[in-house]
Amino acid sequence: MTEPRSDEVVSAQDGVNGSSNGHDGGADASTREMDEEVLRAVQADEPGAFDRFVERFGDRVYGFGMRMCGRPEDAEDVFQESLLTVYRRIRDLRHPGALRTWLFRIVSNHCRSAHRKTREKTLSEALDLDALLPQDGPMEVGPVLPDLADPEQSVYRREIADALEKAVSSLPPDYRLVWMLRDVEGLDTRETAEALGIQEGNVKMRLHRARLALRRDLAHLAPAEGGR
Amino acid sequence: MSDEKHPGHGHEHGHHGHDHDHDHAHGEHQHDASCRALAARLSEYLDGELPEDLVEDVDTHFQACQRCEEFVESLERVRQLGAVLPTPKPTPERRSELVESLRHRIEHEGSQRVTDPGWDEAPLEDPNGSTQ
Repeated sequence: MTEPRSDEVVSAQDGVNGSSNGHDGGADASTREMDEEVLRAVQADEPGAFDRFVERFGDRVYGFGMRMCGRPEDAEDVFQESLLTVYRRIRDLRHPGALRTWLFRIVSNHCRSAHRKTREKTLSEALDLDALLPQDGPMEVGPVLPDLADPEQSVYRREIADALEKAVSSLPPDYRLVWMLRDVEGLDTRETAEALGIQEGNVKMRLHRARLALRRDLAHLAPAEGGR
Repeated sequence: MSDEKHPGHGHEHGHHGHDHDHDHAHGEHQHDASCRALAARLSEYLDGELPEDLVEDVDTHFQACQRCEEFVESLERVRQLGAVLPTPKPTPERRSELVESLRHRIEHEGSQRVTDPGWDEAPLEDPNGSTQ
């Protein structure tokens, strides 16, 4: 592991831009084709191919580590160790279509290792379903999604992005992992179960409760009058 | 909001003005057991993972229960947030340093590019069939 150097850490928020995150979140067929093309090049030892792999996946690996571990130095460790593992093991991957599942299993395992070091929360902490369902009485029906094309909503985009990061960081790590794999990286239920080595029913349960918890924490959010 | 599409099952629904004994004006409804049973499976509904007969039951419930319909619409917006909002990134300068450090480690440790059995991963299933 590389030792974290506090003078070089970057703030997660400094790294948040005001627009789309640029990843594919729910990869479509053309995205997966491009993934597989990069994979084939790396496995064939083409010059510069691993740099292209890092270019393609590095920010996502870092972002995953940042959200899972909460500290830039841990995210940097996850970045380094995950991509080094990928480099060492990528020739073992025989099914190009399994690349994303394989990659995020590696990343998830390094995040788990980081958690074992920091002992932030126990991985098995549970979210209670009843506490996450709407209670009787008036119900907030947000969050309102930001309009990414509207410059007047830039403040609101920032507000909801910050609120999302805070809400995500409050999820128990096991739930956060599933939410990251399903709703951010776009793995399906089976892929997520394979990546984490858990049952599909467990994936569905954790995902649902994670979404409910995020809804509870974000439901009050809407653009101010006039769009901001 | 009522014209939102729930992408998982591809069904578009709206308020149909049903006169029903379960009709709820917003804020007046007391959630009952059927609402809670439904709420436990709404992510499966949104992800298109609910059996078709249960999808019909949920849609029927929404026609009579505005509160549950509003709830699932808010859950659908949360479902979209992860893909819409930016993920944390290192600064470009720090990113360059990280990549350079990785490159350095690969140059010095790359010869360890092996198929060692130490990594705790089970074989991955081929998305198209066989197991690796």
